[in-house]
Amino acid sequence: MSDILLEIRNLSTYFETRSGVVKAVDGLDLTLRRNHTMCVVGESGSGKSMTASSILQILKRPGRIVSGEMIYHFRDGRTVDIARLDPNSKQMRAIRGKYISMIFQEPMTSMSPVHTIGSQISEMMLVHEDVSKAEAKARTIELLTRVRIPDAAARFSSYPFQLSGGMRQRAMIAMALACRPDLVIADEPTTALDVTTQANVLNLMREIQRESGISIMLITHDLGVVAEVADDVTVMYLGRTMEQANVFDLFNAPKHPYTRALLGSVPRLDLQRGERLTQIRGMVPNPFARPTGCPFVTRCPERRFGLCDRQEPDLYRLDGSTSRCFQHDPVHAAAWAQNDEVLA
Amino acid sequence: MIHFIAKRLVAMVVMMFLISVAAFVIIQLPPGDFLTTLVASMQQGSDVSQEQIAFLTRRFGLDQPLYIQYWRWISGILLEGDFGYSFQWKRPVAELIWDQLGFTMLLSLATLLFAWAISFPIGVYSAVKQYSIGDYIVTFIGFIGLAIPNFLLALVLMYIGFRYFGQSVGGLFSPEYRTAPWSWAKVWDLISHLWIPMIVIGAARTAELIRIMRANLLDELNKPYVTTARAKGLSEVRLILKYPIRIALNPFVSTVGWVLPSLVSGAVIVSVVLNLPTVGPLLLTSLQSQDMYLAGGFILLLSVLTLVGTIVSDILLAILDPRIRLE
Repeated sequence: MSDILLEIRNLSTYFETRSGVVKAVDGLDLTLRRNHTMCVVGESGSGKSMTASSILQILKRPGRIVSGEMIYHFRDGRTVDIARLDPNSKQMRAIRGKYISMIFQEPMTSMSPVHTIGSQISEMMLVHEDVSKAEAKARTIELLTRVRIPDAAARFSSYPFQLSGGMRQRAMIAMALACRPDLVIADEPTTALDVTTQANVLNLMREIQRESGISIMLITHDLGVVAEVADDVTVMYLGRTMEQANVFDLFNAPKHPYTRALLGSVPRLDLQRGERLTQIRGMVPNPFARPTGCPFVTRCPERRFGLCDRQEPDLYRLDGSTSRCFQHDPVHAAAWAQNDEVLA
Repeated sequence: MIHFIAKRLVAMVVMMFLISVAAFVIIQLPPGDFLTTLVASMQQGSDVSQEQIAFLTRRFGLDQPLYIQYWRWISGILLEGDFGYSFQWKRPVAELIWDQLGFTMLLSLATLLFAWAISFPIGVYSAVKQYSIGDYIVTFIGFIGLAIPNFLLALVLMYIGFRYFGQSVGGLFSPEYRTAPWSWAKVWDLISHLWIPMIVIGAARTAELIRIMRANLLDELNKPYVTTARAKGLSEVRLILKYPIRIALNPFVSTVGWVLPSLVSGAVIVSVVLNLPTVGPLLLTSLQSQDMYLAGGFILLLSVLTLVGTIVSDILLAILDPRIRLE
């Protein structure tokens, strides 16, 4: 069994609208390891959620995958390139929910208000597995117990609006786990919850991962959460991977200027009185006016005039991590170091 | 659920009382009253006798204060099913109403089913395939359906039915069946007459329901729970049928509340044009001729239908939507 679960290479997802093409995901590279947690971070509009939708091929119109590959490794060694599957095909539907499932941000709106949580969870099993309704119900109650919903048998016939926010998200997690998937994608699963509930939900996810050996792809913009749960981290900007590293390297020795800028904007306890948080100047560029050269060039504090605004850096392989910055390019590194003409 | 229905029923009884008072006040409003009209018609040589006037005066307490008149009227309806006496038709109001009510209900129900059966699939189609050519075509036809005055449509369909299908048009039966006892041939005759009024009365409603269904479903199709269902691996058809349509149905079934009474009163002109034996034309003439008990009976009946329709739609909604049921 391969250690790698999902390899995304050069994935591009575009939305062709009347006012132009929005490149939501633009040449993304990302590798998910089996039984590990990958956090995907980045500002709003960096394409995190679109990456998730692309993996499951549940993009809203007019979004579509225009290029790239997503090689998914089954447990038995077979592989499939998800990017080549038709979103409406049987094969794609067989992957959704069964091998890759998803936890959404807002459990209230992400569950049908007029169906019981029990029926919504057991539906997953009924769709993908050859089980009877009674079996599915028994397993659902078991799952609800496992995600620590008290009185699970009674909650089976509750409607989402009868549960608290934290409970709803637990039910959502139970739904994602229903068919024992290999990968659970969680798109900001704790954003809508209060801090205490957030911690509970994250602990629960970690615990389940340890027990059942699933991979989790957690989309978040909360670096605190990243430090807490991640094994690997992918930093995204304008639909591209800027840096991928394991969590210790990322926090101890961030490679990419964007990663450094993100980390610098997190409040810390060891700041001196009067010391200010750094902020990333400017805004995420308008999706129709992407900068030439490096995507981050308009806001980068370390950009080099004549280089970063002309050419686009590749994703360079470093020791155990990758970075999309010329300072890590063997060809340009020297030029980059000498050129101290930083764009003001 | 039982609690929910019980609450609605209690509210309905209170509402009924208020409406009956209002109906009674309305039929008392026009200048002149029942007695003066009777006396006037006697002078014109009508066959209403002095005894009859005296009897009616006693029966309805016409020389008594208003609240006693009201009590006589409403208790007659509640206890004996006696809606009063129609001066114009010289028959008890109840007889007149029941005569027509059966056909009215039949026509209303047929029209409602017709409107639902047509508008539901078309509405779903035009929402799921929004901005497709098919959507534009049904939307166009829908707007035409809304815009054509239905009496005009009635005339056109009558012409087509007569000219090309050789049907006897107007009414609900061909002349030879009108007084014949019920038989399969008569039922068939009824059905072949029913389609014109059904289409005419139902056209605007169908167009309206298509728009309602389309708008509702469009609202729901982009909701996160649909994406969740998709992420579960459900097929597109199955997930659309199970989730968004289920929720888009709410406003759809709540239309049943106002469909019932408006089918009765709204089809007056069509009924006149098509010569249908429904209550519509009767209501119209009773209002024109100040036939107070007949008019009052109708007003009361329409109100009851409104309330019944509302309660039916409330119950349907409660069945459909747990948020209402478990409030």
